Amino acid sequence: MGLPKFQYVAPHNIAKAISLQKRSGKFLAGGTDLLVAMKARIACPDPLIDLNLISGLKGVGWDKKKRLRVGALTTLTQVKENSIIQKHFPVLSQTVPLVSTPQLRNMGTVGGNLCLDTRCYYYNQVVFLKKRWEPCFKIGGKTCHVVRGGDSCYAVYSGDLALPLIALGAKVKVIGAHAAREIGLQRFFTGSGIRPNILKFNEILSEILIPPPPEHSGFSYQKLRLRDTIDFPLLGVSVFLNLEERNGRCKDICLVLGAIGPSPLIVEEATQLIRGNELTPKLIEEVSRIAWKAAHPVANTASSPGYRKEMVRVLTRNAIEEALNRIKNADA
Amino acid sequence: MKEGYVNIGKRLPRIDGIVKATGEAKFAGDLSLPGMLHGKILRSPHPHARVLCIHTDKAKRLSGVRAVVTGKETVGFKAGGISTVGDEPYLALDKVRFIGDGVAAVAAIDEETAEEALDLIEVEYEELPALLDPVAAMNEDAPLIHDHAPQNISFKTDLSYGDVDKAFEECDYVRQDRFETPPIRHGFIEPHAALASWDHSRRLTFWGSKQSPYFTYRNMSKALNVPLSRIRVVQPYIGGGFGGKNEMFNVDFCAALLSQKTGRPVKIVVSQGEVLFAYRQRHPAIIDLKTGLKKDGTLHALEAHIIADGGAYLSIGALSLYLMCVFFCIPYRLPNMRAKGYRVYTNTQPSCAMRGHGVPQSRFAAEVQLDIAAKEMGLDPIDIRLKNALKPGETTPNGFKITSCGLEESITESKRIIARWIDERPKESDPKKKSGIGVGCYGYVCGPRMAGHNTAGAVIKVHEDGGISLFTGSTDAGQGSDTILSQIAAEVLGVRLEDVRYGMVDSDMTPVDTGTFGSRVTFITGNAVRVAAEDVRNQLSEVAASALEANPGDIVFKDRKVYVIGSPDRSMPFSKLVKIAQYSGTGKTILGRGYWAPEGLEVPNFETGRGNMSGAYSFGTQVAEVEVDTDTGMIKVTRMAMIHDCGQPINEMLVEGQLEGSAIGGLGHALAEEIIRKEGQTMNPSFLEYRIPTSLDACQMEIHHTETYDEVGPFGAKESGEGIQVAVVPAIVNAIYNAIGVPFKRIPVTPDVVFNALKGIGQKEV
Repeated sequence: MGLPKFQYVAPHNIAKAISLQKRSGKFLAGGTDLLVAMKARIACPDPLIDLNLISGLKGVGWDKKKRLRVGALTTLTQVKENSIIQKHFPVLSQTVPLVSTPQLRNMGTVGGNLCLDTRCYYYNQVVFLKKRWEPCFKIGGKTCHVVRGGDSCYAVYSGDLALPLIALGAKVKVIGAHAAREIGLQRFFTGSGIRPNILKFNEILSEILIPPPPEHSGFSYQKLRLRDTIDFPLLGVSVFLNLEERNGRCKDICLVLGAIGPSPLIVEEATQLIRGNELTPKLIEEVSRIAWKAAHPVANTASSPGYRKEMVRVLTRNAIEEALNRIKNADA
Repeated sequence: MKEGYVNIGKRLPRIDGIVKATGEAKFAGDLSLPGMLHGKILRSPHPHARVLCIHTDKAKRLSGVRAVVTGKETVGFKAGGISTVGDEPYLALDKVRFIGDGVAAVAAIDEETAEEALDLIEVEYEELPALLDPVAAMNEDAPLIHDHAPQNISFKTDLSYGDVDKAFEECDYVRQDRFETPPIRHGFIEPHAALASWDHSRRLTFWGSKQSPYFTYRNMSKALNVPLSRIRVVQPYIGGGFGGKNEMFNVDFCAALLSQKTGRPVKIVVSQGEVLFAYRQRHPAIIDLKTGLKKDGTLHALEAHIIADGGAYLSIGALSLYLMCVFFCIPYRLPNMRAKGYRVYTNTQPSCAMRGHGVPQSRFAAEVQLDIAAKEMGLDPIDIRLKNALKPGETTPNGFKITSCGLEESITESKRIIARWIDERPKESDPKKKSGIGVGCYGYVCGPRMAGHNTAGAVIKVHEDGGISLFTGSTDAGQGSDTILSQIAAEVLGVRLEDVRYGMVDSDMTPVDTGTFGSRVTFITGNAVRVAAEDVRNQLSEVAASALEANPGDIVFKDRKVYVIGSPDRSMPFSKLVKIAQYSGTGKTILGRGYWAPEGLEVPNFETGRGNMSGAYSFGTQVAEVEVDTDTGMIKVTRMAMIHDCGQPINEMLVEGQLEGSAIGGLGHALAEEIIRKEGQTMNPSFLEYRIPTSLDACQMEIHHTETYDEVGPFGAKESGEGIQVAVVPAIVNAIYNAIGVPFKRIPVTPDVVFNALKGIGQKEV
């Protein structure tokens, strides 16, 4: 099917874009998620406001607070190729190639990746087949086909980049009709499968602000997928690790799980458990077990939830080990 | 291999490569005609239901709608694959039998209007119990999907050779296992598409994505009740078929019927989603297999009981089931064999032919069981294959006559390859990763003999500049046959590949053809082309003989020239010869004609199964190396080797492409692909969730040709690229067995399955 009918506008600045927006409309960035959803009649926005002519949403550079500012419209390919990011945030340049395909990375943007709609076996279904079922929560109905008797939507947030960005302590800037605000990326996500992020219809995610990582820190992003390209993650695990210089004990850690629920999940217990301690194999096992316990994937992809849960343990261990190795290699 | 060829055996780029790579090639969906309407098909939302009433008034009243048709507007023809008794109407007559079955069709001024009109058609259904499991469908008291088929058995076959019961008693080792294979996709990228134009001379012109256009030619005539010669089927470029585009489908019929109703051309292009939930699949099979061996590893007896899920309609399933059963007789010597097969109707998508046609399922079972047997008996899996390999000159108990056969050579070569691979392994490796190597062997047909039309024809026209126009009834669905057939014509006429223009199928002009399936094009059509080219050569030899004052038998055609044998200076350019032929005297129209089919073949009775069904058989051995991540259960196929006997390769580059593509297809079948259904509904009708391997999932591949030359095949050639898929799945599964000690009896072997198996073993050890 082609695209549904809609009014198209392409303003040159953010204020204009916001003033033109209506409740029925949507903002268009790379279009790799939205246009697909429109063709499948999952979304029929009107108007469609193209942000691509707004230069204020582009560019990568340091801001006054010495944070890296990444314009939301920066494409994934630009993130990967950016020399500042390669030097200071290698985890980002290493994560980008794990997203989708080169063609989609050339179009897809960082902001769009963070604003990715949640996905589900039933929701992202051929229209004709979807019509066979009662409407689910995500399309305004009163049921969930994945968790029978469930009282909410379990659609999965499948973005890759959000995980390392949360681990890095990134914030996002949201601009609305009357004000702009900065919030921690984790709080950008609502935890609802129906509306995965906090953006109101006339708000724009304008930029991502990333503090430089402290010394003796390392990151990792582990992605579980069945093919070496295209696939959304069946599970994502990202770890930020910061060690004391003197004794190698853990100063700080952030463990984030993705693709197992409607928003990325920070495993807080892991932080409590690890902080101030030496990362022994036993402790890593213990953290992995806690992550495993925290994850509750459901049957909304073609892969079994039981397997995805088991892999939380494996990927968490691998992520911590990789982050540790990176610190060691950098120090060496 | 024979030397001295100019075009044969060379690495020549395919003739359609540039137009396909640049996007210039036009596929059915790209075509349009003035005044053309767009059609859409309304499909059943129920797996099994009686159609009580269809209200089309509202849809017909929608502005822009030109026609709405249902089964009532048809003559009630039912398609039946190769069977004379049909069971599949193109639009539902009384019942719908799977989710996606065609119910009505609309033609409108654009796609959106047609889509909107579908929503306005109201269908009253009486839902019937859905049969989704073939075993349950065979119960005595199960409801019937088709009234004519008790126990929902659409076809059965019962083959028996030798004294099987006695043979099992004579065996030193017997084992029995159950193997299961999933429903999978053909995976072609171009969806089904059709453009039909009915004109006032009461003729239909049809352009469609059909790998075997003459199936559609014949069925269209019956389904529209129009004389055959008034149906013209024209072939555009085809974006893959793999067996899934042989038959005529509702998309083809509805475009034609709607054009007939409206007097306007009608195009229907189905979405990839529709292809994946409403069209064909490979037969899923449950195979109970018992094999008996003597203690030295000699295969002595085999017994198989197969239940194949045929889905809602017969399609070409009788042949599928027959091949699944009879191919236990090949590629190993097996004196005593019994195979009982049931093809069962269920309320799911119909199953049909797919690359390897029925054989991948049974060969997977047989080859994996052979490895389990070898391990338990303490024998080498390669030696056991070598010991039992068929040799040239043997006849199998069901009557397959083995002529050229490079199987022994391929198995022996596989042994050398395995030794080298083991030698090349890194000395240090990750303890979490386990590697293994496995093999599988195959034998395959080069055009199976079936009842009815079984020949191919070719026509060659020669232009006075020396160019050649070649026409056959065979299609190139992507396998490269346009290039291969052109090479054959060029070789016979002593011209170059670029001098030949290959004309695609047009049923008004090209010779009637059985179809592009069963690996028959190179072998059978290739011979027809050879004969047609020889006919041209004979006609031109007469002219050359008179011009060069020699005997016609002494004229040599080479390097775009003709000369008298032994006197290369008594020569003239090929183009000049054609001019002389056409200009002098009354003038000769040089038109070559050829037709060919293997001689002495028997039409096998699919229920009892005796008879030599192919003019030659291809053979080969597939080797696969895997690496299993014991943490995640992820399997990586690290490399594969294909040692195959396709006789003389006509074009090595195309043979390699065929083998590599086929092996990667087999890789997907072994490790990832499966149609997932819930209550009869396909849950993964997209290539995002139905995971065919991508180029990044491919591995390093080695290809070795055996030294064989088939006396019947054109220039010694046999089948290539279809047979190999039969052996890929067991080679990979056996490699996993070799790596972690678990023989998987159900495919696909996905990471969760491996993970659970590894966990199970861990527990046992404790």
